[in-house]
Amino acid sequence: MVASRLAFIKEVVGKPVTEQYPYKAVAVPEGFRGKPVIDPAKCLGCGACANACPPGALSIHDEDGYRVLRLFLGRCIFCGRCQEVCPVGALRLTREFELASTSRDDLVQEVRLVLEKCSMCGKPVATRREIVFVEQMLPADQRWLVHLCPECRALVSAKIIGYVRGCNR
Amino acid sequence: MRCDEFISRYDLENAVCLDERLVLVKAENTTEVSEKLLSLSPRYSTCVGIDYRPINRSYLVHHVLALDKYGLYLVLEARAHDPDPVVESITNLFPAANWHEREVMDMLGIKFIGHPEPYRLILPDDWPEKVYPLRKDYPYDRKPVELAEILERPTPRNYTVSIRRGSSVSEAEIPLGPYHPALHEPEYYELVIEGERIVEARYRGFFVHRGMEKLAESRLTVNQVAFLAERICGICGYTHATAYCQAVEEAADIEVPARAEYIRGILLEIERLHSHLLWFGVAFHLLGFDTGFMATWRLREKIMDLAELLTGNRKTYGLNLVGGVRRDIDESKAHAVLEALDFIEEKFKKLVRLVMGMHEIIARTKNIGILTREDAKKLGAVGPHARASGLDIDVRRDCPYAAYKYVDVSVPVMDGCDVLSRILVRFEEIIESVRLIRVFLREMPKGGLMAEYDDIPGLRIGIGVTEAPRGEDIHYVVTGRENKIYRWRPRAPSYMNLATVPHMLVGEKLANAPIIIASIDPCFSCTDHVVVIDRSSRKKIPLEKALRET
Amino acid sequence: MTLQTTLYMCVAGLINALALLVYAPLLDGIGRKIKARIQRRKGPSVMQTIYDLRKLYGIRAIVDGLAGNYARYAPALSMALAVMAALMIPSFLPSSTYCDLIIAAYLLIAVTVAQTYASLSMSIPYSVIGGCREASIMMASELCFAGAIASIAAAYGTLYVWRASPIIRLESLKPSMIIAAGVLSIVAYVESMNLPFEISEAEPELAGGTMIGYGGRSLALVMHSAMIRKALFISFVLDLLFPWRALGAGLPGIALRIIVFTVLLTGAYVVMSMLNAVYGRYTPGQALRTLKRVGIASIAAVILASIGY
Repeated sequence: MVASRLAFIKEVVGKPVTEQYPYKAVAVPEGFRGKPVIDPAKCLGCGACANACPPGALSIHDEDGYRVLRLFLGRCIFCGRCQEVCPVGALRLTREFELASTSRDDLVQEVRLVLEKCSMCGKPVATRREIVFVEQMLPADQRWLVHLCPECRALVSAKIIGYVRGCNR
Repeated sequence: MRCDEFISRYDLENAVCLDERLVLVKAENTTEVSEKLLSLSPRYSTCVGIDYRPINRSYLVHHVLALDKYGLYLVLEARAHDPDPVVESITNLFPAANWHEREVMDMLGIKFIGHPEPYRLILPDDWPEKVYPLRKDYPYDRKPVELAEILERPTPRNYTVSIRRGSSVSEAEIPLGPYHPALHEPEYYELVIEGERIVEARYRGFFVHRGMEKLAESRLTVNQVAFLAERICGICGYTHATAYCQAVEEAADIEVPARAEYIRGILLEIERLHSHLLWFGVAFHLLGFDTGFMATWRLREKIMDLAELLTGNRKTYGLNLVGGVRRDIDESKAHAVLEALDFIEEKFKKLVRLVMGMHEIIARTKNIGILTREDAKKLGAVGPHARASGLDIDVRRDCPYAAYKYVDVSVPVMDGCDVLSRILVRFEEIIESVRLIRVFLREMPKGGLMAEYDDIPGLRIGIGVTEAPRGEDIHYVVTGRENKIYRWRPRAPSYMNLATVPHMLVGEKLANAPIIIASIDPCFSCTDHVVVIDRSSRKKIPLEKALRET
Repeated sequence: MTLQTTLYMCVAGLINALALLVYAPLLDGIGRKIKARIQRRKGPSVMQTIYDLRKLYGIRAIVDGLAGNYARYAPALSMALAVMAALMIPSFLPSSTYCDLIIAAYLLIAVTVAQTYASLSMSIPYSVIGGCREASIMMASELCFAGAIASIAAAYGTLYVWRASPIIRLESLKPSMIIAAGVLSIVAYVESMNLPFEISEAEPELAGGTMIGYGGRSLALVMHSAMIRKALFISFVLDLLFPWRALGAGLPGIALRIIVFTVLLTGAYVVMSMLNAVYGRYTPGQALRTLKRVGIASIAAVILASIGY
């Protein structure tokens, strides 16, 4: 019994395990899920990240001919799903975790991408990078379809199909 | 035993296999069927109320019973219809069904005839009548009571203590919570004491009900719910995420690749280690031994660092998606894990040996907080709490999942029924967890981490059961259409264990109350339900009544 | 008694009291630091208790609104009693040559009684329970204390501390005095709210117990007077145990006394805080059972002392 007490008292000569943070930096390992950062040079504006984001920290909407992708860190749970689903790797989770700020604006990242217009009716269709991305997946003779908005695309396709089938003579 | 064997052996009418381990029994008369099943001595697990009106214009009540010896789960189905949905209560046969049925009453408005205590459970006292949140016609973001209305209400009653003069006995009512240093989550105990002895204990919880079940049905996709599930609890979150994913995987017949199962197993055991070490620290703190608390949590830091290395975060691992895991464990990480485990095992064994030599600790835990085997069985206790009272149940062995399917788990069971037994059971579990992680790391096969699957079919039932650090954690899922969930019901182990606390408190000294409450390792975040237990069978002294009426 | 001695006594007493007002919190800080180091933490600075008290003294007096009037005055009363005890009981300087065993004991106990009575009159259940526990522990430990004092009085035929001290004399070793010394040390440990006996303020159980009804300046007075009392209790025991007269008279004797006393007092705190760190907390029942055994020992000391041993 006395041995127990002495064994514990002996700890007094041990080095304290208190970390000196914030006077000394704290290291986080490789793979730590910290603040996500959007690379605007790569972002397609496709919205896959906003779809996957569980708390809705990422949101995407169109306004005034722009596609706006917004990341609000206040809602972010740092799960990394956005990074996983982004087709071009524009979203990366860094190792940064010291995100406290007195200003809400510090927690917002926004990417604004110009929306290309439909070559027939002039409505905004998709961002240029989106169009390029999808074009590359299509055979060359169908690439013109991506430059049309869904309604015009349906109209033109119907016309072509009708012509091929002989309905439109 | 396989499900179809079971049905034929016991000649169950109206029984159908939902999958290998889940038997659905439709019952016109739930009481009659329950009586028939009693001979199998099932353990009551949970009850789910589902608003199926958009599908077939009825409400479903599913009682889930566990048959540990066979590794099977039985679902007893009863139906109810508008305008007055009513089913029979089976609380008289299964006392553990008490809270579950009350919850369904609160949230769905289905009445259980014959229930001995049909009082509100989860909903707060000022919730309007006839407003049932889990019904499909109630939008998830509606608040039924305006803030201004709440502010106008009279302030709640004042707890004053008055010692009666001239009487040989004086009783005082001690509130323990919702805010109290002993308790790390908001719960509320009312202890009526005579001197130092507790003569009555009342519990009320559900202060952190967050409406997760409703949230999962409304605006989340199937994979997103996995992240919500992880946030049910800050200690056993990963178990919840795994149980949920397992439920969906069973419902949709998705087979998780073996390597992913091993990784899940490893992280589950790491979570068990961190949870038990946390509990040891808290127990020491409540016994006044802060040095032990610090020493235990120092060891726990190593586990947290391991989790951060393996998953990217100390606690919210975020590792699960339906069908597998998102990250791999490579050689260098495995090596780091093994090194840390060696260190922790050695130090922890030494620490516990030293503590066992401290007479004041032993005196405060031996024969304190007794929960007899019969009570534990009757109330449906689970986990280390049940195992310390002699019940030999453990989901990892009875109904294996993830990597536990490939190993033998040694389950510690003790007869002491006291706080000391609970300490010893958790100690043994820590040692066993260390062993299991080593085995998993060694035997982990190569392979993929994620199953390939098409759209998840709608309206399929699945249950995912895991052995959380606190006991059986069961998630009941009905999949929905278009990548959503129709119904999700997580039932955490503390839901069952909390019912046993008033039984353990009565007759004990007040000084022992915190350690007794803590000995079940309560996780109120997991439980998120409200219960008011009234043990009105004790003899009353007028003072106590007077206190209650002010 | 000459004017000179009276003057000397007053000045010495004042110096003692002032020194203890500052040193008692410092000792508390040292105790916290040691406990932290045993727990492998850096711990608060040794000045932290002084900083805490300074902050609290700057906040207005806060007392439980539903308590009786007495609770409002109890903090000042307990501080007054503590200061009185500090004026009378010899500590750094040998102050009162007329300090007698019963007066010293009375003053030391009075500080706690003043606080306990206040905590019993609060409306907060935890305060009442803390007060009840304090009262029951006190009844047990004061009995042991009384027994030890009685045995000293019986052994040396005097109530004056300076004549009885040191109670253990190598030339005439009395077993009763050895027992009394042991009892006194244990009682000093118990009265200093050290684990395993820290029962009335048990934070996990009682959220602060006897002190929970106070805030601000009132809390500062209560805490500060408790610290002073703790230091005085140990001083009292040191007065009885150590052969102070061997240090000589005159100025060098006094200087030596100050140094030796400071070292012994600090050393006693260090040892107590080390023990404090490696024990769990007793339930009130366990504490009383332990004190019962100590009580039997103290009665044995009284009996032995009366028959000449």
